[in-house]
Amino acid sequence: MSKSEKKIVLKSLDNEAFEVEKAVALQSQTIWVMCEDKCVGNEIPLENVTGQILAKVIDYCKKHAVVDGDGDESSEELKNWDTEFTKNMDQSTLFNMILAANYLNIKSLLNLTCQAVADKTKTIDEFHTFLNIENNFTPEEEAQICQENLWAFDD
Amino acid sequence: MVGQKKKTKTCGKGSQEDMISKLPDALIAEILYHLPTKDAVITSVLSTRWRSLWQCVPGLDLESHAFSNSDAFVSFAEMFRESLVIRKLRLRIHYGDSDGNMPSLSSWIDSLTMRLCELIKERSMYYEIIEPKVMFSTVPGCLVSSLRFVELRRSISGYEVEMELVRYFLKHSRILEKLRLDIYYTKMAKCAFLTELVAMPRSSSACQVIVL
Repeated sequence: MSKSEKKIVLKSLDNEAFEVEKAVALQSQTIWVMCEDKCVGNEIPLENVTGQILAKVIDYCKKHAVVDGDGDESSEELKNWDTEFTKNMDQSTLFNMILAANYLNIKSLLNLTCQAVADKTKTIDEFHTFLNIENNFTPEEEAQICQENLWAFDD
Repeated sequence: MVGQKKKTKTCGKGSQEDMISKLPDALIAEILYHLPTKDAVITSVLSTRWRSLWQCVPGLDLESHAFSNSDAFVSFAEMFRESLVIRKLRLRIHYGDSDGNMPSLSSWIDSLTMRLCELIKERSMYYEIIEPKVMFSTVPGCLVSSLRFVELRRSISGYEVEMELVRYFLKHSRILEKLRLDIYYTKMAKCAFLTELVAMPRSSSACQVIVL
């Protein structure tokens, strides 16, 4: 890839193409390595990310590419933007974002999305309901697990 | 309390599926990383898959008064002594809850941090002291040199002791980024405190000091 090329095309699983500034895309360590190794052309196929999720990831990267390095004032603004960004995401979007952030290796986005899930699941009941996890323990097994770490279950 | 926990069987609930269980263990651990360790441990009753997932979490965030005594605290944290994945250690120690067994706790912090410092060097470490009666001997030197964030809540037993503790942190914490103090002084005392604070030598020039 020649240095003069500033734009890069990211192609999602469902064949949606996004043309973005190279600086935006390179926040992904995965893409960065691909470009470094010159193992891809100007178009990068991302086979694990759908267009809907990729669009959100790109929004995040655009915001962070612009503001990074601009000093303290914008870091506060960026934080608020991050909060708004994940605030209204439903469970399925959040989990797909976590997978995408992990696959694309964007640490700050992985951190942000994991934090957002953690924020929604503070109690065990929230875990069961928000995450919809099926409990397959018998009451006896459950009591035994509680016994092992009684301090955590004791309020 | 175990008995208070409601049984919530959600298997038949609507069409929503359990997305999180589709994540690999390492990513679930990343989510639990953002919870206090106590909450992470509680997820062990979610289902068989979750039973030991919390043990893969790459951080510890413990509050001493969740434990019945310091030995219980120490023996729990001991389990992580050999852990290679820990990248965050946050201990909230309530000295007021002391059961007269503090030496074992402070020697544990010493030995644990000694080991962890090797691993954590460039990572974040937090150390919060909540109750009074804190002396420097309880803050291991090795820990101080890895601190990025210190928060002192409530007035430490008297002006002189507090002053000395703040001076100690500022002087020895080379990579300190933030020192937060919640103090309750009269206006006059606060003024004197701030004057003295500004004059203190700091080994981390990037350190931000916040007085509330």
